[in-house]
Amino acid sequence: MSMNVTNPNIAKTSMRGLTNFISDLRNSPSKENEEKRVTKEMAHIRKEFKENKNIDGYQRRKYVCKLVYMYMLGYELDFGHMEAVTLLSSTKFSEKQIGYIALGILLNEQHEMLPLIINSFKEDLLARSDYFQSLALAAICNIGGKEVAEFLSPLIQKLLIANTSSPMVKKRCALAILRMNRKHIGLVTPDSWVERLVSVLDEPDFGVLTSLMSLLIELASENPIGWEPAIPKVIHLLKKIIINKEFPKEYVYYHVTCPWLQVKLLKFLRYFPAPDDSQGGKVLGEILTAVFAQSESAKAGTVNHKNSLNAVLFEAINLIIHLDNDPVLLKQTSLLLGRFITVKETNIRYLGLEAMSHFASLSNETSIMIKKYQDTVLLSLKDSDISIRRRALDLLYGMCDKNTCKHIVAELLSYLQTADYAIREELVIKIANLAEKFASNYSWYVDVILQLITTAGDFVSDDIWFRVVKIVTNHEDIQAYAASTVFNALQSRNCHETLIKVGGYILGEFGHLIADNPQSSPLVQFNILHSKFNTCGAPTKALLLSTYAKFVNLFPELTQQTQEVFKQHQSYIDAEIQQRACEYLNLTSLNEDLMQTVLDVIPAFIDAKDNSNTTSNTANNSNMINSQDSKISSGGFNQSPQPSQQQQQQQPPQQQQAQLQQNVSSNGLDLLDPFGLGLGNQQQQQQQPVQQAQPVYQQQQQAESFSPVQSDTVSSFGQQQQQQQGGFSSPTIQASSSPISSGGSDPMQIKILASYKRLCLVSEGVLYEDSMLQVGLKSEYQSGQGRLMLYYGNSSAFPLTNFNVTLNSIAGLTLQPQSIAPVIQPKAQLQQPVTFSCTSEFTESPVITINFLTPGKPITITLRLPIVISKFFEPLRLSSGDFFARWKTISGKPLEIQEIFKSTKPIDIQSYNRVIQEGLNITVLKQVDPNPNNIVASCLFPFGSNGQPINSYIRIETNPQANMCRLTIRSQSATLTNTIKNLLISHLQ
Amino acid sequence: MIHFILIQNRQGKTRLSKWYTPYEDVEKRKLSHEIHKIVNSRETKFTNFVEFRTHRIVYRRYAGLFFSVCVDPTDNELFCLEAIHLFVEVLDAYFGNVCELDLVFNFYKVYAIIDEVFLAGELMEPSKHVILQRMEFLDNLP
Repeated sequence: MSMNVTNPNIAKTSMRGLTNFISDLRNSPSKENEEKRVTKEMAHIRKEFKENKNIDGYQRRKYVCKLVYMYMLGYELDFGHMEAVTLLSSTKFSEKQIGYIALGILLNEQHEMLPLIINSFKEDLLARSDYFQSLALAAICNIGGKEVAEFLSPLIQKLLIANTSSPMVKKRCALAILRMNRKHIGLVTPDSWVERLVSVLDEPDFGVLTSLMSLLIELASENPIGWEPAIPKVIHLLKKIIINKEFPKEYVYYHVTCPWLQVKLLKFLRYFPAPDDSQGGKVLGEILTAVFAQSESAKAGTVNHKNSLNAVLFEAINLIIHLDNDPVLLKQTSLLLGRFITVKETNIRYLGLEAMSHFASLSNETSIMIKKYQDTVLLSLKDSDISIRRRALDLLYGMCDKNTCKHIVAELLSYLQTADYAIREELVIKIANLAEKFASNYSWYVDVILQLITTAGDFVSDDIWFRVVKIVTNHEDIQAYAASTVFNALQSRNCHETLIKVGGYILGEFGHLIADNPQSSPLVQFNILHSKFNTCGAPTKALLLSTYAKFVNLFPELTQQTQEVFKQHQSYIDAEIQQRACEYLNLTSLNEDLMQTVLDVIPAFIDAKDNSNTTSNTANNSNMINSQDSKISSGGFNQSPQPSQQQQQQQPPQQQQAQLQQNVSSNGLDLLDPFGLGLGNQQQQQQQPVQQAQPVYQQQQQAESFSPVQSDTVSSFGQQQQQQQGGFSSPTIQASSSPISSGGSDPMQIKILASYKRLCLVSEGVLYEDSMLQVGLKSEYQSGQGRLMLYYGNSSAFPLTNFNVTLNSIAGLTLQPQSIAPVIQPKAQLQQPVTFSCTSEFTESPVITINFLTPGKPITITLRLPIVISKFFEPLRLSSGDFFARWKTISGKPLEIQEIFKSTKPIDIQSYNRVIQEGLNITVLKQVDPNPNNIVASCLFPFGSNGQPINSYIRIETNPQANMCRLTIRSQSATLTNTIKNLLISHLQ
Repeated sequence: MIHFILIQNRQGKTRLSKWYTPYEDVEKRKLSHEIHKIVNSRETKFTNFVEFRTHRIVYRRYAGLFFSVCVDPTDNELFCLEAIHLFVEVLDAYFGNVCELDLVFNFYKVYAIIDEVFLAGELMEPSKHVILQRMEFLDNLP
């Protein structure tokens, strides 16, 4: 065991017993011996800690180290933590240090022991020596949680700005604050911190500056507003380093001045719009030009020198792309990137491809600027390094347009044949997306997808082939082509099962279009399909049975063969197949008219393209499909066929089932789309065929029979009614287009509206939900004050970054949101408390804007918060006499409003009473109006704009036969009258 | 930010791990195993960056040891790569031609050094000189 100890300090602080112990374990001839040795040592240490009253600091330190070492080897530790805590109170640095190191390894922020040691942290923070302070600060950075933040942040803040603090302390304070802010959302807000933090930017110490910049970047990424005062100083610092070349010499790293600080300074500026000249905008231009100039020297020198310069250069490029305001620099960037993607150093090529993706997405001009590099990028697609291939694929996907798509898709298809498994799935999705997005003729599209299925069938998800079926069904001009293409493809001996499904479906529908050709006569079609039948799984078999039934209808000459197949499967073990076989056998032999109706050509799918990419729709669909499925199995063949049944049977139930399976793992699909390729969009479109099968009238019935609370049904109903909105290329950013307007027919909007309306009546629930984000809230109200707790749950598989929420006060309602962490980890949830107070009448609800980045895609969601004036109403009980006495004192517009409306649902007085009394906090006055169809109610709004409480009086007269309502509202405030009217109509109609 | 730092040998033994994002012990073992599998299978001419789940691994091999850091995809990769090198240079200067065994026998020193270079998942001190001077000072405290 030779140890290369040249640093005398190591020998001085090392512990002989520990060294021997580690040697012993390393020399154990077997795992069993090692375990034995560990057990023995554990027992020994446990005994020592328990019984040796004279144990000294050195021994304790040594034992704790041994325990930590065993823990690092993977052995469980059920004692020793307290001994580490004991070390914290030692006055010897070497002992205290081991205590802190051990706790840093053994504990995490959730550990129950942590609250016990907060006091030790505090004592050390208050110590006079910076090395004790440093230890405590480092521990806070390593394992500090929420309690630590609450208890110690004022002290740490003081230490950060105190003149007496050494740079050692200050740099740790900055990072401790960063850590605490991550754990305790809203700890650091600009109003109370910006001045202090900006003043620290004057520190000459580069260690302090580097740490502080990490903190500022984190804060700006959370929400840049309020941190602008740092911009001039950051630019000044850059100028000092890059142009004036003023710097402490110990920070020069391979002839580059602290590349890390330069990167951080540049990165910070990326969170803000281009600085104007008062902030140093012009200087920034010079700085960026200088960065380009100095990168020229990167061609020579050591790899570390080059990396350092390039780290700064790529950060500068990202900033230039972000600022997008200097055509000269943009041009230079494009040339530089063009060079980078051809260089031999793979790291630079990788970063060049990545930066080029950003560059291409900037604007039309930039994407044209890089067109000429397409062949180079295609070359990188064949690189042996998967990291490079991924970047190249991303970039190609972004570069593709109408003119280049055929070439790029062809290249990608040829690459698919040799591509390794790690990238195939992504590749298939991208090809399918591009083929559809840029298809100028659908025969090309069909070819591409069939080739996808042939080359990489296992990676072609059901949605892709559903989509083909849909497109073929909807485009008459390619039906014959599609039929002959799949027919030819089916000739191959080893067909992928997905191809058999597509083939089965398309020949069943359009096989007759090629039946005149003797090469593909009905019998040949049947034989080629049936030759594959036995090798298929049950879902495909079921689908093929449907195809055969359709064949009978199209080609009576096939009746005998197909019925033979049905007969064989009448007692098949799979229930679905058995049922189909029985039903189709009867259907094809009993009644020709019925058969013709049932097995008629499937009508074109309604092309309800939707630009909201949501799994909530997926969830809706799965509901619908559930109900359909039960229909299919319960609705027997012998019943007289309803229109709905006909259509259902036309839809191969297999398809519905596959759809169902897919929907069960609804979130899974977004995992396939981590880069925001719009897969969700595609998926949804592909679900249309299934949905279509549900007859419209039935959906309406459902929509009506459910209360509006069950928004899913309502929204899928809405989806059905959608018009064509944009094509495949429409952005998948959800809910970004005016979700506030309530009249939208977008299902997501309908769902949002339904959630909003529901939450206007109750105090907690889900406000918004899609595949990535769920927003829930709880609220409480007390005499003009309200408190809202917003919950943001990340339901995706990737972190949502740059998460930020904007809430604006409105007239009459002042909102005070706490700030919130910038990142939500997958499956994690953030909470944001919002307090607010009501000062006068308000008409609209406040709006909340949620911004975040998914990998590769910014998302904006705008929602209305369900804070309505009725939340502040107080009960007002009046006798009949009092009510009419006051009623009469107010009349005429605008204090009185009368409105007649027709209810969309049958009027139910009980539910009206409930909505008014419990949901809208309006006191229903019984026995004032003897007519049971009428409602009389009143309420008190305590915060009128004139400083006085305002009473409102309400009468609702209903005519259940005609489903009509007349609403009369009187109050001393026209605003209030109008607001109550709107509320009542929205919730009663 | 850096989510974790791993120092592993070619056989996959994790010599040192530092976690800035809290994971359960089981998850830590799984991550260490997966990272080793990935970096160990890559050729030397490949990039020092690999996508890993939704994160990125920036790694560098020094003799028989892999130094890997897991960062966000928005982080500057070369920044991380050179931060690794800075850390290795500090180790090298501190131990005097550092080898794997130094890290094994003096693991607590390595943790002390890590805390002088990185904290809270961020690079704290970018000067090798300052770090070494500080270690020298701390080692001589009573």
